[in-house]
Amino acid sequence: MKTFRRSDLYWVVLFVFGVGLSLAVGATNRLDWIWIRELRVPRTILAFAVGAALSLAGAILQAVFKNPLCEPYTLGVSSGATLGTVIGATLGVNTLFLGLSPAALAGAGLFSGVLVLTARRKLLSTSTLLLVGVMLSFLGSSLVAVWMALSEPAGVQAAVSWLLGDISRAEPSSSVVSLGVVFLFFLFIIKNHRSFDALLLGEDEAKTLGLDFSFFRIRSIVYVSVLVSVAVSLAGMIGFIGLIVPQIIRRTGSSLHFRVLPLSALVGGTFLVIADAIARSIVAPYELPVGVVTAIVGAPFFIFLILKRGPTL
Amino acid sequence: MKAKILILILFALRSAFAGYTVKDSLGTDIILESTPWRVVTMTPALAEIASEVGLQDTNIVGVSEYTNYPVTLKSKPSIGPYTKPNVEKIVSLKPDLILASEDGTPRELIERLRKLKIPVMILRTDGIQSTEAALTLLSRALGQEYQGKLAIEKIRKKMDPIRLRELKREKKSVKKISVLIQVGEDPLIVAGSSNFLSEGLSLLGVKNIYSDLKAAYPRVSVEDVVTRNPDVIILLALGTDSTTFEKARTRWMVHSEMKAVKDDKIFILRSDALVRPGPRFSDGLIEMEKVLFNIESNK
Repeated sequence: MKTFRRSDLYWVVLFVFGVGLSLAVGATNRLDWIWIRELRVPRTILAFAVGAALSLAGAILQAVFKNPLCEPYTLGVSSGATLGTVIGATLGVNTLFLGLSPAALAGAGLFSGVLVLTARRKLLSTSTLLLVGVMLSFLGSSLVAVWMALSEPAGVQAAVSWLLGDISRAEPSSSVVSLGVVFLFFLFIIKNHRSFDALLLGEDEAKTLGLDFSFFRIRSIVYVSVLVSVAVSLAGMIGFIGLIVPQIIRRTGSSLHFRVLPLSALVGGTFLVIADAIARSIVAPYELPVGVVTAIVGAPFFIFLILKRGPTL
Repeated sequence: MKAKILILILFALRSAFAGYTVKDSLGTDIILESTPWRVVTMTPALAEIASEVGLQDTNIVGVSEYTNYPVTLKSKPSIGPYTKPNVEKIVSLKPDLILASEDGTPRELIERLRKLKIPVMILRTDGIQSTEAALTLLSRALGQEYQGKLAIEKIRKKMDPIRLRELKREKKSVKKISVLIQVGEDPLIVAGSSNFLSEGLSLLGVKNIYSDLKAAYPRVSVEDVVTRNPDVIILLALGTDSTTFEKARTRWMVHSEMKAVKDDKIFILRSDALVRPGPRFSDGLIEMEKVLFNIESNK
């Protein structure tokens, strides 16, 4: 079986369509090119970077934990980053460094660190690990809720829109930087595509292939933490993309990571670009939280795919 | 002599092209190329302030959601809710001045618009004093100093009798009434200490039962309100129709041991003037005074 199929070209077509749509629609039809360049271009770039980061993170987590339900959202990594950002904002240390807030990285790192530590205790199966992740996710969002109860209602309104995902704060410089960071990490990750394939075969197989299983797992989690922190510090909590995009890619062709990783990034980015275009134009001048749109568009499509093909990884 | 005139003319031309600088409530210098004639207002109160200093309706090209005073502004293009105005919508209206509120407009958005080279004036409107200051600042920016003075005069003319009546009450040493101002139902949100409503209450010589909480609009529990046992409950800003107001009233009625319930002192005030810290706040205060004053005469 060839790694790439001709049908994979459709994803590229979708990408071109998505970018075109995102530049064409918005709160108003009459917008000078200068404003499109200042407002819509950065937004499109940021949406793409965030979507790509989230679905790459999802693809990695699914391989590492060998479970199709894994993604930054369900495993609590997003919650960790959110909690970090929120605490950082309260302490006033939320400066962005290379597109990510150190506080978000600390939060994501802490939560995924707990995941890794749990994984190192040999007695735990991957599904137990998933359960730990779900608990972490609850813990993170509950602590964020505590913070919200203590802060001003006006601030809460802004926070709520951010918690549900918000790309409206895209700026020219930070969006390009974030795309650069995501691309850099994509290069690190794609270099290891064979190791991810081996992970999916199982721990013993991986060992026979000469892969240091636990070390690689930790390295993967570090990649995930960085990608998720970039996504969360710039766009808040956006669920779902990390779950469904890698699944869709695996279901529509070869499951080799040399194909799954780049296509996940491309399609994840495109998906968020389109979702954001819908979110900001459909009820203008209001904006829907982009996470809501990804779920409404993505969930039915995903159910359709499962019914048609059955669950696979 | 000729040279001097020439220099004067040159200076005049230079200033005509370079525009002028005004300060906003935070003391930031705002550079205006010429007198603004396409203005976007980011809160309903700012729209009122703008038209109060003589800005014509035609020069207000965009307003935030719920802007309804003066009535003619209702039909202006909306830039969305004041908590989350839409950047694309704003720039498409090609404003040459944007009026932002110090505590209402998201700071990031202001930074953003300033980076896009659109002048943004941040005005503080959190009480009567700051509204007067905002009127002065904006009237300067628009070259309408006289209108600004008139507007302030108008507010003072309404405020003075209110202050006078309060002085009289104080002289008679009438017992201070304690009041709960509820501004949100489900969750229960009330007026705390640092906001214009609290300032209004102290002008009227009544006590806000939540004046000890620093937050402007804290979320509190029903239990705590019952314990603090206010003489009067005033329901404000609970929506555009009466359902939520009635719901809130019914909720308090259950607690029959409360003074406000026993004495039937739960009041619904639906005036916009009380909800927004703008030039009409004094009208709202008179309304609130009437309600509270009737309590006095009933006793």
